[in-house]
Amino acid sequence: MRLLVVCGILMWMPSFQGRGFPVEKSPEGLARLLDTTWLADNTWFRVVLCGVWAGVVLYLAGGLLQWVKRPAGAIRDLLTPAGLTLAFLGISLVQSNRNSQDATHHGYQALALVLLTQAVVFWYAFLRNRRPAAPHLRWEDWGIHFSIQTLAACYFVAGWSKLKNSGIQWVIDSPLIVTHMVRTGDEYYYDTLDESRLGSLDGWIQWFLGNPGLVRIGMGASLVLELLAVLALLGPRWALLIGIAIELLHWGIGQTMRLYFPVNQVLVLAFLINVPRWILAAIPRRSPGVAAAVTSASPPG
Amino acid sequence: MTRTGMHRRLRRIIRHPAAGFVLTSVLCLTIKENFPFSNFPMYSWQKAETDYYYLTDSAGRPLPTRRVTDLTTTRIKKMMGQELQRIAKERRMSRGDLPVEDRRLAAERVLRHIRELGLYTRESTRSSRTPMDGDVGLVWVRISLRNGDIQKTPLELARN
Repeated sequence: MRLLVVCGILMWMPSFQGRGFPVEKSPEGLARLLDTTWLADNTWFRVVLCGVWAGVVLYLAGGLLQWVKRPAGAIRDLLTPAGLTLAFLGISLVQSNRNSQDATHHGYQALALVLLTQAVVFWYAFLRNRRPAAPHLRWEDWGIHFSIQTLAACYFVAGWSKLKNSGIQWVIDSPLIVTHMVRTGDEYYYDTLDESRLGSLDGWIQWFLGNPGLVRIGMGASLVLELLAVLALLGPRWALLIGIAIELLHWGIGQTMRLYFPVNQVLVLAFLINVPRWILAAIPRRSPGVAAAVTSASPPG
Repeated sequence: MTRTGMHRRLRRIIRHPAAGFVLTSVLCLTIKENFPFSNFPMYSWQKAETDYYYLTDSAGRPLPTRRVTDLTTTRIKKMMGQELQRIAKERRMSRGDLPVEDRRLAAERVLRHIRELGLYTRESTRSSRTPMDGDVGLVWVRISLRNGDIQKTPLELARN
């Protein structure tokens, strides 16, 4: 599970190949609280990168040492929350700086929220310095439990905003999405001027123009899916179902609009589909501790 | 209520199976766009018209936006949107009613902002960046859907 979360962080890393910006046109996120323009200095930018890497290493080490009975104690328990906090702060600093240029990108909020959620759970565990109330569950399970809720909330909020801004008219007018498809297809080309990107959505655009009824059904279903993401909290099978549907939704959006959310997809794979759980479920159980490590979506306690 | 009673009630709320879901949803919807929170408003309106913007070099040829600015073309549209919103607020008008002159003003501001952030030649690599000389233009492309046909209308708004 931790490895999949780390995959999400690593998939965010390519944005580090960019740079920080020297001005904040409209400060957002952490940039509202502190100046982030120092990220324009490449040295400091690399320092933040190292901070995120250090966070990843601490987070993984914290997970590995859970299986080691000795040395126990406060330092071992500190690794996980410290790692999560470092990774969260590093990602938030860079994204806040970038989003403060009058343009908000929506690819990494889910990752940052999951890291924040897990950090809160593990800091709580560390500061309370005791086992969870339910003796068969570990703090790891609580981290996963709240991460599922956070992820489901991200999709619910996206659906809610559509209803709030457009109501049911969003579904009725959904064939108009072709104008956005033309836009995102052209933007995809102008980002790089790579000829292979030119007109890459033309086939889909023609299909959408010719099948408005089917488009309404598909788009309506996607809205219902976002609003019902909360069903993932009902148990591992529901989470699996919602997770697969969301993966298909992301795949469809990528194909028809060239909008990609790879980090979200990894998080869905980790927490909703919960790949480790189903793999371990297929393996004859040796130790109850292993099963607990890949907890179900059902609430602990 | 005693302190212990409040503590118990708080623990009961936290242990509710959907406590994290409700809390995250409420925070995202109230805090809105403040990383890591967001109300994820993208594509929550469907309209028969939309637009985008791209950069051109001194000869009017398109520039690969991402390579020369580290910004995506989508981000430039968002920057224009925010600038237009500011102008609309100054004029006490809705954004859609702004005349082309105001769009030109917004485009000039956005180009100035892009210059501040850094503009590099298309040959630049990540390890070696060469600042771009010469002027750049910002082209506005309107997209509309009329009678089942997609129409695109490009217009250069500003040059800097």
